[in-house]
Amino acid sequence: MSVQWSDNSPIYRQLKDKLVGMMLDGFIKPGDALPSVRQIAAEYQLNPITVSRAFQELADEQVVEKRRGLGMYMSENARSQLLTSEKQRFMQDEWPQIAERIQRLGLNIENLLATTKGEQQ
Amino acid sequence: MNTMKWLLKREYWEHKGGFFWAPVVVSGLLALLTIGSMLFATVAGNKGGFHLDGNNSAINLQQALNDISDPQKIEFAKGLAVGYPAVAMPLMFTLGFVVFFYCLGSLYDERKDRSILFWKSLPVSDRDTVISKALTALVVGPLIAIAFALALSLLVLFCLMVLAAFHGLNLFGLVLGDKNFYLVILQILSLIPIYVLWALPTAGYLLFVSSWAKTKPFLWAVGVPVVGGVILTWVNALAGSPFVLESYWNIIVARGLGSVFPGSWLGQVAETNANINPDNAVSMLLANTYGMLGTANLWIGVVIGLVFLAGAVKMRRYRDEG
Amino acid sequence: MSGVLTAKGLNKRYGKQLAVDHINLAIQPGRIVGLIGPNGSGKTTTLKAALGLIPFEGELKVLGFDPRTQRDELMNEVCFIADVAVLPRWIRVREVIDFVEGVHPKFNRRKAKDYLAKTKLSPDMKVKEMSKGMIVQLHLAIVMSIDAKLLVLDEPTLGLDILYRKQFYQNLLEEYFDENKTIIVTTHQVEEIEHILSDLIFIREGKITLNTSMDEIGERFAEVMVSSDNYAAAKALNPIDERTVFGKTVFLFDGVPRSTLAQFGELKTPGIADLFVATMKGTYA
Repeated sequence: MSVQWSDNSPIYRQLKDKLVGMMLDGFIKPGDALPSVRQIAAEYQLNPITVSRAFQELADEQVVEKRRGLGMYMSENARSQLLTSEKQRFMQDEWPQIAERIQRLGLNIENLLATTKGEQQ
Repeated sequence: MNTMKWLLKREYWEHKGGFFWAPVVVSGLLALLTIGSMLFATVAGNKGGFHLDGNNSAINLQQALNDISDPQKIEFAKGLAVGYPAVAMPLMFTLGFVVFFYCLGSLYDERKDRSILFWKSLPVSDRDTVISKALTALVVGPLIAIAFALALSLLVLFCLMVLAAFHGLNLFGLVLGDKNFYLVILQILSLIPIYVLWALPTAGYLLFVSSWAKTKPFLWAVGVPVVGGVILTWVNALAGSPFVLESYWNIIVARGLGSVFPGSWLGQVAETNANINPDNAVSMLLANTYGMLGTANLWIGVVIGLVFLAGAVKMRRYRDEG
Repeated sequence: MSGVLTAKGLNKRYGKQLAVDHINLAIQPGRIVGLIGPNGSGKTTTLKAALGLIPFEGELKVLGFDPRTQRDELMNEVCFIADVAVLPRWIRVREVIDFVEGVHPKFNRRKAKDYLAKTKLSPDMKVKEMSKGMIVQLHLAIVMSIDAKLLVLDEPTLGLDILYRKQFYQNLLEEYFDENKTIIVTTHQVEEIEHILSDLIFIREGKITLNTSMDEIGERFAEVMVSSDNYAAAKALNPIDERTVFGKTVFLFDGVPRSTLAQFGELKTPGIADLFVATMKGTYA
């Protein structure tokens, strides 16, 4: 797996985002076992410490749980947890930047929403 | 961990050409040569072209063999019972060359192809490695050569006796019933310890050169003593020959480089008994051989050999390779 | 001293040349350390000293052993691959497995067989019949089957094509490495192992120019692209390197708080390669 990691944020965070993405998209379902630290480290050519750190943060956020002797599993209520934290992140980090950009470009938010609705239909 | 066993195996695997194939080829050639000429002789003899006693009259081989008297038969059988290994002498001579070039190459080759970096990545000491090479050169090699020598000699002897029996001369009982037939095998094996001690200085010296030379170890090993000797001779001659340099050539070159050849110690033997016969040939050989234990020559050589081996260990341990 | 490798004033001279100049090191267990430097920088000399292959001056302890005097004990716990192709050319696969099993107390034959089963190597093959990549597969299979506390790899993938290179690190990470082991790697192909490393050591002309963990790099170093307006202000903060990308200036800072730098634009963490070039340029230490 040849992944291009960006240099904007630490690798462990990017890995965490990737795993979160897989969970949100349904590739990993609640109750599923996550690949082991070793497997991920080997496949993505990362240091196991980096992978462990990503796992740890996910565990801290209760998105995954550690089952003794078995490994990491996606929590049952992970989806809601994830959505909560993703929402939070969007509101705190991403939205302000997008809002600022919209303003800078002189666009009107309502018009934008109307165009997306139009595209959706 | 039986490390030494595996080190010896490594040496054999790595140098199978010299320790196995060379004796195979030489034995094969010798077998062809001796048995071939025996067959030729019998065929020629049967056709009446074989001269047994120096007369010009051609004698029929069959007739000649039938005419051999009993005492002559016994003497002949005695000689065979003791001397049959002699046919394998070229094998022992080959061994000398094999041991020489093995010692010269073994610590050099692994540096040249950098495989020493692999061997050194394992928990095997340089001391054990050098010891395994000395053991291979002085014990394993000779044992293998002796095994081939024996096989060859027995084969040739067997063929000889079969051919003789074919022509009416039955030697089997006399030869196989002679205690010397069996003893001589043990006696040859008992020469090995002396060979180890005698050949040690040469083996040690060559192993040292092998561990030290950056390139062309043969030139260094042979060149230094020979060129040194030539220079000495020349300087000596210019100075009006105040010194007798024969001992230099004897010691440094002949003993220094030649001790790996089995039997080379016999050249040092002081007294020679002109009256050698089958009964005392082997015991004389043994006596002369074991007599070397009482000579300073042997033991000084042992010390020198050990010093060179220690040097080789140091070289392998501390030299910066690759 | 605990720690896998500790050096104090490690010094090695070749004639007049000082290959390793009084360096200090402290490598902890469970790490994957990259020792990066140009040819002749002293990285190979340092490794050779640590493995007891050459004499040296100063203090050096590897796994608690002095490589000068306790090399035999050390070699029970350390394994190394000194170069891509040092396996003896005459040896067969089964012979080398038998030999290592016979002399190394920590070799696991079954593991080796399992690793080799995934390759195209057969027991009777001789090394001289193998391609470079296959030789590395064999050597790696042997090394991974030895339960060593420290693994030293000196340019292990030099000259290999990319498939073998990727497989090499993949195997190491998947099958071999754990928190009780330590790996020291030297390589030219820095980008390849960039994310595998936990610690980074730069060495140049016998001296260590950088010794840090990969985590610290993100906290300590930052790259920022500045517009011409901010050039002077940014320059005043003493960047350790300056380069031009598409006509814009990129500054590299060491130890300047990110909050201070944020005013100039988007901050990035430098890649190892850029960091290497930057630290190698000046006399920065």
